[in-house]
Amino acid sequence: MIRRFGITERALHWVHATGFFAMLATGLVLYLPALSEIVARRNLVKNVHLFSALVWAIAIVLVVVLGDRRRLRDDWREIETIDGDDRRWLRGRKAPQGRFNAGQKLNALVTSAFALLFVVSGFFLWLGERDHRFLFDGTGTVHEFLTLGSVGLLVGHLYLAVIHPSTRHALRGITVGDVREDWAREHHAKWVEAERRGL
Amino acid sequence: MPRGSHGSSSDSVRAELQARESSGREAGVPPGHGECDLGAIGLVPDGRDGAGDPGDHTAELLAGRPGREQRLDAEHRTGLLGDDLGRLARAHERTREHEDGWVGRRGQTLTERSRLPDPLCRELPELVRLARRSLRVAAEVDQHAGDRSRHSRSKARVRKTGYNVGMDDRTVGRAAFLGLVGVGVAGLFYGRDATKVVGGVVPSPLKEIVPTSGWRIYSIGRELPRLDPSSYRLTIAGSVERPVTYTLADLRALPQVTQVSDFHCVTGWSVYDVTWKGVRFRQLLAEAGVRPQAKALRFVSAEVPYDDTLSLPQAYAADALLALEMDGKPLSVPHGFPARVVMPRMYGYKNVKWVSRIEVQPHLDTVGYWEQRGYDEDAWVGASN
Repeated sequence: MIRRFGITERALHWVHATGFFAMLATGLVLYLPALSEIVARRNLVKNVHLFSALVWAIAIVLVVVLGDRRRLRDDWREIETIDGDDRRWLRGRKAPQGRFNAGQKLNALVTSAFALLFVVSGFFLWLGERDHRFLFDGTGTVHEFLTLGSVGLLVGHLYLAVIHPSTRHALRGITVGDVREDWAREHHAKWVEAERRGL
Repeated sequence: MPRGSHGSSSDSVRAELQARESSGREAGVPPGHGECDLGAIGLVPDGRDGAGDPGDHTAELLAGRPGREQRLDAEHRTGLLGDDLGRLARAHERTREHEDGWVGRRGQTLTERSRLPDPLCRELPELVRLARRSLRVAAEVDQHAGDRSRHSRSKARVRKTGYNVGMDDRTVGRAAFLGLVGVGVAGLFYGRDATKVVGGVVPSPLKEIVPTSGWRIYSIGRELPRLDPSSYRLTIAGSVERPVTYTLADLRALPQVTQVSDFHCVTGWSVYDVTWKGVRFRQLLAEAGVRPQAKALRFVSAEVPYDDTLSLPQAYAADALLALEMDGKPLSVPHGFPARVVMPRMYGYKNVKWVSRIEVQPHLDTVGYWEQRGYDEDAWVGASN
C-alpha cells in the first residue's frame, strides 16, 4: 500500500462533493420546470440552495485554512503542470503519469474554475435580484452552462471512480487514503518512482 | 550568438559550433593555435561583446541562454545525464577559476584572453567533446519530448516532486484555468439567453424537462394550483360600488385585446415577443365600479399565500392586462391558468398567476409576497431592485 491522499485532501474532496450534490439537487428543482412543478415551494428550495452555497464556501475555506496548506499547494502546482508526458497521454499515447494523470489534472482545473465561476455568477444572481444594476444579461446563462458542464464532468468522474474496472481502485485513495502499490505503479509511474527515491 | 529563443537553443548552438569551427579552419588558423583558441571554435565570444567574464559567456554559449538558467539546467542535467556532464561541469568550473586568475593577472583584451595557458589547453579537446555530447543529448531529448529540456529549470521543484516540473508546463495548466475563469466572467456580461443553445445541445428525450422555451416556472406552494375551469370564479371586491364574481366564460365574454410584449424575470431571464390575449383592467373593473378613493389593486393567487399589488395608474397602463391566453392558446397550468396579470414593464413577480380574487384597496400599504422578502414594490424593469 502506498499513501495517496492525506486527510486535508480527502476533506476538501468530500466537502466539495457534498456541497455540489446539495446545490445540484436544489438547483435542478429551481431550474427544471418539470421538477419545479413537482416540488414547487420555490422559496424554501431557494433558501436551501443559498444556505448550501454558504456552508460549502465556508467549509472549503476552513479546510484550506486549517488543513495542510503546503500539501494543497504542492497538489495545485502539479495540477497546473501539463508536461510533455501529459500532452502525449491526452493524445491517447502511452506516457508515464505523476501523482495526478493528465485527465485528473484537467478535471481538477475545470472543476476549480467552475467552482470559482459558480461562486461569482451565483453571487451576482443573488445580488442582481436585489439591485438591478447587478442584473447582468448572462449571469443566469453562465450559471446554467456551468451546471450542464459540471454534470457532464460528474458523470465521467463517477464512471471512472466507481464503474471502470481499471481505474475504480482510485476510489480507495480518496476514501481510505492509500492505494495498492502495483496499481499506483501502473497508473502513476512517475509518482511511485519519486516516492521510492524518497523525494 | 544564439540567445533568446529557448526552443531550438541546443540545435542552433550545435550549428554555431560547427559553423565557427569550419570557418576557423578556412580562415587558416594555425594548427598550433587551433586547439587552444576558444574563439576559433566558438566557445568564447569575440571582442565585440565587450566586458564580461569569459567563463560566463562560455556557459551561455554551451546552452544558448542566460547564465543563471543555464547553471540550473546544467546542475539538473548533471543529475539526469550522469557522469559525463558532471565531468563537464567540473572541468568548466576549473576553466573559470583558472581564467579568472589569469585575466586578473594580465588584464588583456578578450581575444587575447581566449588563448588559454597550456594546462587548460590539454583539457580543451575533452571539454569540447563533452560539450558536444551534452548538446547532442539535449537535442535528442528535445526531439523526443518537445521541451523536456526546459522542464528542468526549477531545481527546487525537481527535487520536490522527482519528475519534470517547470514553469513552462505550469503555464499551460494555469492558462487553461485562468482562461476558463475569464471566459466565464465575460459570459456574465456578454452571455445571452442560453435556452435555444441548450435546446440544440440536449438530446430530444430530455427536451421536455429542460427550459428550452425560455420560461422558468417559479412557484411557491407545495404544488401548482390546478383550477377547474367550470368551478373557477374571479371575485372583484373592496372599494367598489358592487362586488362582482366572474366565471371563466364571463371573462371570455368581456372585450378582449391582444398584445405582444416581453417578459422579464427579476432573476435575469427574459422571454421576448409573447402574445397575450385578455382583458384590460379598466374594462374588467367597469362593472364593479371603482370608488373614487381607490388607490391600488391587490391580486390574490390561488397559490396561497402569493399576492401582489399594482397601483391603480399602473394597472391602467396601456400594456397591462389580465391575460387568459398566451401565444394563441389558453394559459397552461404552469403559466397561471385560467387568468394571470401581465404587466410587461415590471418584473415577473408582479405578474400574479392563478388570480382568484382582486381587491380594490383605498391605500397603498399592502406589501406583496416577494416584496416582504426584499423585492421592490414598484418593480419597473431596469429601474428597481
